[in-house]
Amino acid sequence: MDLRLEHASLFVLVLELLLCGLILARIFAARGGRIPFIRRIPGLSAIDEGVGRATEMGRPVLFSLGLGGLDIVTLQALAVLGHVARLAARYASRVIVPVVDAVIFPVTEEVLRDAYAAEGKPELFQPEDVRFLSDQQFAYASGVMGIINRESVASSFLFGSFFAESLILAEAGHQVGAVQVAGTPSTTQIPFFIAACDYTIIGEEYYAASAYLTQEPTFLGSLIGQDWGKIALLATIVIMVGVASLWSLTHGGAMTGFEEKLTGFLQYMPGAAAGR
Amino acid sequence: MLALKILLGFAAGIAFLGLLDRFTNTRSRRLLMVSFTFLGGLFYLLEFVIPPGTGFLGWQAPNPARDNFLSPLIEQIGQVVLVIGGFAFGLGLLNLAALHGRTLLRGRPGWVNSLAFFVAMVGMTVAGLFQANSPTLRTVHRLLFEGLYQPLGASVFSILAFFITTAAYRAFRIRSGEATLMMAAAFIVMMAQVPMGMMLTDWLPTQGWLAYFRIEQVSDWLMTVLNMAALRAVGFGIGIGGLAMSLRVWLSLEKGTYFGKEM
Repeated sequence: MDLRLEHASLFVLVLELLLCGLILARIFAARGGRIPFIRRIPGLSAIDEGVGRATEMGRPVLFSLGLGGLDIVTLQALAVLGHVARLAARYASRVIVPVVDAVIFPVTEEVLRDAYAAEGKPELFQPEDVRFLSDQQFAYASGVMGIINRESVASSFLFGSFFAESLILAEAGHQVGAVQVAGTPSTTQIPFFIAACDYTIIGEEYYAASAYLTQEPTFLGSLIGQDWGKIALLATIVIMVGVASLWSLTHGGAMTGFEEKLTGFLQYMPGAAAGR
Repeated sequence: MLALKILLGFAAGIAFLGLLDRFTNTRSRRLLMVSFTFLGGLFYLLEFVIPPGTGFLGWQAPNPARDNFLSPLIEQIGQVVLVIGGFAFGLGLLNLAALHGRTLLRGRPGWVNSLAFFVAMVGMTVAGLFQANSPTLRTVHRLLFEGLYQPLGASVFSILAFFITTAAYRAFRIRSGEATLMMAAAFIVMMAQVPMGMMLTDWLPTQGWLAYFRIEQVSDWLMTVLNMAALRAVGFGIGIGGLAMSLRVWLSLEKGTYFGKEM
């Protein structure tokens, strides 16, 4: 069955336009002064506590960006790193950032340098605190474990795309008694973080981090737009369940032919003969 | 010839970046970044939404049944990322060398590890580059890669088994209602994976309503109904969150990758 995954069908196009429209509308409304309220996210509140703890103990903070390349997930992690670095600069603490991707390395260095400069303490930035370890998964994991143990980090923040190394990093942090906050959209790794970390940021909370930490209208508006998008998706699901139920009722309890009609509709695209 | 092309390309890239740095100010540099980001995003968006078979001014895709006129350019555009990665890889190597070089020269604690880094880096590079011409280097490369690097990776991976046990012990300690529920669900799912567990409910019939209480059926229901519903809800949230973030980056609605005042 050709579902045209490589190009948007009319249905996908309409859905994307709807979601993008909702998000942009809320962003511009927020920028225009309609600032929404967002609930407290305990994991993100714990970031400030974690940096404060590191300052009190005189130990560094560790921030891992995971194994991702320069993608949306890592950009969000870098945004959280920017916040952590500014807090650390304010309290004259160190943030150690082990990096897995050479492309991410200069960006990370820039984020840290800017954060220390923004707090008026550029001299506190130590370039050797951003460390390219390896682009190999377990070499990186063992490198981070080594840093956690040697530096006895007070707090460990794990934000980004993680795979099998997630639990290795989280358990290493737990062994040195670090306060740990993890956030990842990798659904297969969320259970490991929940088991091993003090706070775990899951699902869309990961992308809500920027809004929560900065309270900037653009981020807040975007977050509300995402909620509207979820409501739209939920409504679509409810409507489709209703249509399927109606089909079943009018076809003697059978779903015969429904799937073909539905996929035919989803595949419909002006100019394309296939799928009509 | 290829080496010359690579060198020329590298020199041209450096010259281009140097000119940009010399003749642009912060404002025009930002404008340049915003424009490139927007154009890059626009290309991928148009490639995705334009129906297959669509041409432009006589420009057609080699396979109109599957591609539109922009599809053949996907690979070339994607190679830009590889080129940037190539520049950045040198930076990664320099960072490692600088960090370990300082530790070694100043005799800081752990200097032996830094020495091991240089020995490993030089050894692996030499053995890897020249193994084709020397049987001895081929053996050294095999020894380093298959005899050292791979087992070390497997050893780190194997630590997971112990970490899963300790993490599961802490997570499943019955301290609250939620932990009790999680413990019960984990127990059912784990028991349904092993023959001994399945034996517990083996006496129940395989047909009729009582069959729903067989441990493998309960486990299947937990995984495909409760767990899957939660995972899909999380997936929806992540998907829309990613879309919103992409939109903000594409339209440069936020400042760079770090926090500051929005533009």
